Amino acid sequence: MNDSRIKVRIKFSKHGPVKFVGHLDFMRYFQKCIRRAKIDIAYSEGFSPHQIMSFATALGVGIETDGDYLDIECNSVTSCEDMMDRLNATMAEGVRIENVVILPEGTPNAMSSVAAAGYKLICKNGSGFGNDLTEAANRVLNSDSIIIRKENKKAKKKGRAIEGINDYIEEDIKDRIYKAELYADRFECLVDASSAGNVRPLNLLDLICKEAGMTLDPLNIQIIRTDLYLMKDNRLTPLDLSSDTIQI
Amino acid sequence: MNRQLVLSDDILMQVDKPARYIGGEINCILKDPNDVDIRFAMCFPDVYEIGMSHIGLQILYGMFNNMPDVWCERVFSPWTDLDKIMRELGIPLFTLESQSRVRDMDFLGITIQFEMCYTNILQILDLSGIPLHASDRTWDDPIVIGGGPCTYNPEPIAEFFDMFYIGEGETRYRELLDLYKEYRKNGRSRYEFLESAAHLGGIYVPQMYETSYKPDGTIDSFRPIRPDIPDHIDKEIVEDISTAYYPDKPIVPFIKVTQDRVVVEIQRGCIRGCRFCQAGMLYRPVRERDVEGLKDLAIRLLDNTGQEEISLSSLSSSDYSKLEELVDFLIEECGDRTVNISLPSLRIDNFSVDAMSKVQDVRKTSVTFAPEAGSQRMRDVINKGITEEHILRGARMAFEAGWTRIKLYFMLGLPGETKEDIEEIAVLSDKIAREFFDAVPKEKRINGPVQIVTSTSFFVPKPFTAFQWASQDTKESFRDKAYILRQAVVSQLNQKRIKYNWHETDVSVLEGIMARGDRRLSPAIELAYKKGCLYDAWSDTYRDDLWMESFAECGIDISFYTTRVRELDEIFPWDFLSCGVSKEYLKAEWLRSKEGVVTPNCADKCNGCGAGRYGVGICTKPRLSS
Repeated sequence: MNDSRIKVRIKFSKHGPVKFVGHLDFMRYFQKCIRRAKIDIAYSEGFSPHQIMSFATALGVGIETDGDYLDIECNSVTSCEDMMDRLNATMAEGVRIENVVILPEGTPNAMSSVAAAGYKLICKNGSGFGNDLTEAANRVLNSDSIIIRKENKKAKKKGRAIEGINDYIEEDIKDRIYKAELYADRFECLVDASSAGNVRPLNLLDLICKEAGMTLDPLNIQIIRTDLYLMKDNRLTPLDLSSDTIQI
Repeated sequence: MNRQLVLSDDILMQVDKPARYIGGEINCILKDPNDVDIRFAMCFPDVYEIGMSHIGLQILYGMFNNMPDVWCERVFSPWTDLDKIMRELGIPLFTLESQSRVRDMDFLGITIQFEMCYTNILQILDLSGIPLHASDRTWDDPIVIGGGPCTYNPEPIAEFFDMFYIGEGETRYRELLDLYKEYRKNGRSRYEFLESAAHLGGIYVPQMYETSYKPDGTIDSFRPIRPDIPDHIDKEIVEDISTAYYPDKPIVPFIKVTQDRVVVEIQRGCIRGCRFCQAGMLYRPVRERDVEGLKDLAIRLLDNTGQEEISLSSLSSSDYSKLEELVDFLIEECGDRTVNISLPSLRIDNFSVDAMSKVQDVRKTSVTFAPEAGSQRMRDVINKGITEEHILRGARMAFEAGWTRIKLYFMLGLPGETKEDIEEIAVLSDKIAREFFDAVPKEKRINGPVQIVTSTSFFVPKPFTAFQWASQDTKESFRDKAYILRQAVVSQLNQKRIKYNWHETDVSVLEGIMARGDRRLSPAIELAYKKGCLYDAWSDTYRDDLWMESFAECGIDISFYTTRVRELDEIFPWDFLSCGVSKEYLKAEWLRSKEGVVTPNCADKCNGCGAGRYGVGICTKPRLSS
């Protein structure tokens, strides 16, 4: 780590067709944006130097975001506003830079900071979720424990089941759901997104659907990540350290 | 505002690499359809990653979109997964930019870079809902126009095209588009437009010509159906390449494409007269771009794309007169920007070894040689113009600079090839390995021992080359030759240091049929497509059985097109076209090849090939003349 470098955090949104660009390609896309915007980014040493850049978390193919983040290290910076303008001048359709902040020295990187994520799951066909599902949602979300079953990765090696280990493990995720509410046309939630306790919002919605005796068609749901949060003084604070903090 | 895609989210989530179908990349052009007179769909009939790597497509895309009255958009072949879904659901093929139906365009331009894309052309037409046969189309269909190297023998696919543009695209399109606008405005018929277009330079309208055949199957005559239609067509050529249009804002794909870099075209054409090489004849005379313009272009390309790598494009970059100046400039400029330089295959000499050591990691990269033939006798037959001494000296330089990996490219099945010629490929590979052990003492072999990869492709005779009269080998003969070479490689002293790869034989036979085919092949192409042939250039999808069935059902004798010995006075299906190089010159070259007589390159001496009549490029420089 070079002390003279300046850490910069970039918040971006990604909507529309560009949601089909996967994470690795999107990283390459951003590297080229940084070059076009002539941001004075730092490069690693060695025969094939690469930009010092890390994303807070990957965004799956087909998922949109109102707020995702990447950290870069710069040799020099102009102003946050100028960097934001220059980046926005070179964005592809559907991608916007929402904020650029210079991080105080010693700020942990975005990837290790992520504590929670907000999501909106929108029902794509016009019919919405309906009353049955609202009642099921209340039952699931107000119960003492919320159990999800997930595939036990240890149980399978090269596609073969191993004797004595269950294929699925059950987990109680109740205390990792900070907020969740079902509306007529969407499901909103704020859930743990740390590397240790990541909750997938689609799993939660699936549980609610099962409670109502329905099957969830994931292709009928548009997932939008609304923001990423870090934990600061027991409050969830957006990764760009804006003032929209949430007490939990 | 975001564009609405034709494909629903469900479909895009089901297919491989959905970003192939969404458009919206950096530098792609969006216009208001109401502001333009002509909608042009530019198609590369292969998958997105291949098509987007082609510099010609980017040139024409930029050129058309520079015209205020034209909106040019891109179309590629849907991969087999999406192809199936589109057929099942009846989704018509669309352009990437506006996601409009291809059928609603004014023009559908298809670039035809290799023979193995012919079934993909039919897929494009079929999925677009455009009748496969040009004669069945109406004003409800776009004008389907083909361009690119395969149009120098367009006859096997003539049936499927309204017209072909012969030669370099920069020159004649404006006139063609203006003619189109005039005919549409005045309510003239589609046929009238085609008739009129047939009078433009470089435009071939197949419907305006007819062929008759002799009892032996060769062509008796090929002529226009009316006396006012030109009986031969000259290729179009850019006179001043330095001032010709070149895009400085190429599209930057989201996904990783085959050539994921900016490309600077340094010259067009080639001075070498390799007798197997079609490109070497088609693009004569060689024309260089001004080096100052190229430096400026390189900077603008990097600024406008943000690409991490830059490459030079030409048929033989070592022959570019200002290569050292350009490469030195790029090394300096790119080093400051942390941009990689990818040097094309250069002749190995002091300069190129030095330049390569600066831009590549010797431990991770290899040095490539293309001797094309193993024996000196055979290299003289093909007029390759290099000797064993050149090759060994070049290899030694590379070894001394630290490289240990050498790639060698050869062809099997060249005219007059003997068993000894084939075995010489193994001998030369071994000599290069010996050169390594001689050049690099044991204590200096820090990067490991030498690794030689020897690859062979099978020779396919092409139109407009000295070998257009040559007999192509059979599949069986190709296999036997690869076997002879494999045996010869394993009997070498350094056989463990040599890896031998060979190309598929089936595909080379099909390529040979199409390359020198005629109009009678089109029913077989259509039948093969209907039986399910698609992506014939991809070994996973190529179906030799279906192709062979189709030829048999159409009564086509493959050997007529491949192994048959052609007489010197035979009329070829492509004789009505001219690339500048005369048939007389090619004939003389064919006879010289049989004698093993070499012909000097254009820089050393003018051999009077015929391309001098364009009065451009190297033909205007004082040299020895024939």
